Formats: sequence, C-alpha cells, structure tokens
Amino acid sequence: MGYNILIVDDSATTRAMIKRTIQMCGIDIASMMEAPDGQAALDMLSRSSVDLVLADLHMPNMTGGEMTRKMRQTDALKGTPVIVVTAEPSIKRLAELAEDGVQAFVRKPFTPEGIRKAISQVLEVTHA
Amino acid sequence: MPDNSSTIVAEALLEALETMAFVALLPVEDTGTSPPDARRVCMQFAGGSTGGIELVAPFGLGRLLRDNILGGAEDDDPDNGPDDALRELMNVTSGILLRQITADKCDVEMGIPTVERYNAPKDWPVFITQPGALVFDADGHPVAIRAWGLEAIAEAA
Repeated sequence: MGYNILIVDDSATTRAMIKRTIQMCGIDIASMMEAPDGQAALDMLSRSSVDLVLADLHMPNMTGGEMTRKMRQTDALKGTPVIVVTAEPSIKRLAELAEDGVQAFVRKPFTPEGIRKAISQVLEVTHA
Repeated sequence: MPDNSSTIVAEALLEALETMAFVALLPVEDTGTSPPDARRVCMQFAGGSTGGIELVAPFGLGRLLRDNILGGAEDDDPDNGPDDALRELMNVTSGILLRQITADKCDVEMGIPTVERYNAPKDWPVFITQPGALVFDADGHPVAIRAWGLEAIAEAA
C-alpha cells in the first residue's frame, strides 16, 4: 500500500522538482497529483483520496495557509497532513503556520534529505 | 545593513542556482555582452519597508534550469517552462536574501515573481550601470541582478 500525495505550487518547475525528489526518497508512493494553487488543490481533494499534501505558501487564487485552514474546517480533510514547502523568509510567519493546521515546513531551496525527513516524520505521526 | 550587500545578493543567487539546478555562477570581466532572447524577472517586497529584486537573464538560462531540474526527462512545456524556472529562481533567491539580511526576522512579505520579455540590446547597458547592479556568468549565460530597499528592510527587522 502506498501513499497518495498531492503537490501544490504555482510553479510547474517546482512541482516537477518536488515530485522527482519524492521519487528519490524511497517512500512508498501510490500516486502523485499536482495542483497549481490552493483552490485547485481543494477541488482535487474533494474528488480524490490524498494521504499527504505538500504546498507552497505564496500562490495566486489561494495561498497555502488559506488552503490548510479550509481543509481543517472540512470534516473529510481535517486529518490530512500538510507540509509547506516555501521560500518564506520569516521564521515567525512559518511558526504561525501551525495555527493554520500545517504539520511541518521545509524551506526552499530544499534538499532531498530535507523533504524525506519532513515526509517521514509527518507520515509516521499521522499513521501511528 | 552591512556594506557587503552586493556580496549577500551574489551569494543568494549563487546558492539558489547551485541548489536548485547545479548551475555555477562566475564573475565576468566583459559586462557589455547582453543576453540573447532576454527576460526580466521581478520580485517586489511589501510591508513595513518596500524593496525588490530584478534579474535579467536569457531564456536559455531558464531552459538550462528546467533541463537540470527535470533530470533529462522531456520538457512537456518548452515554451513556458523556462520562464517558469526563472520565476522560481527569483522566488528562491529572494527568500535566501531576505533571511540573510534580517536574520529570519523578516518584516516584509514577498510578492509573486513576474517575468517579461526584455529588450536587452537597448536596455542592458542602462541596467548594468544602475546602483547595486551585478553581472555574472551562469554556465555561459550572462545574468544581471539588482536589489533595492535592502538597508531599510534590514533595519526594520
């Protein structure tokens, strides 16, 4: 059984980078889906089973923070973990993401080890 | 804000290029060679202090970033993918730079980077003579970068 992962970023290049990094991490993956912003991600989440969301913070239409808040307000999605992958420079704003319901953050530029560690920690907690 | 702001800007761009796409950044002596098929990429900062960064680079650098990131896989969007890669380069460079000058206590918010075609033959000579403008060679591609408002952002942090 593998994990269904949703990658949310307005940059198609970054989505490809994250996808490739996850594939290198040795994590058991069933599927990887992509969305270009928070609203598109919510639409996809309403139709598909997702075990983990990796999302950028600053996106048009809907930010990663707004998307996470809306997920936490939705019964079917409140337990789906979110990792924010972002270039956000303020550690204070990153710490505040926990109030939105974000489980972890990884800063850009990310390394494969940084992504692997965050995913492993979050999935271990979620599926413990 | 330390006097080595140019060094900090250069180091931010270097780290972004190397970590994202294994592209090296080197100094150039001949700054007069403008990039072909150029793009201007901008990021505005907003909040307590205003500032921003702009980068002029060739479409070819975007293609190189994209190729390296895709790791040999075919680019399914060769027309727009390189511009997207340049936007993400700006995003990552800006984050590194702001973290460095504010020691993670950044007061400003990053915008969403924009990219547009740039008339380099006409505008490059003006760009590179602006205060704070730096010119480099990124794996054979001429690149210029300029940041402004950094002193106020650093003091506000």
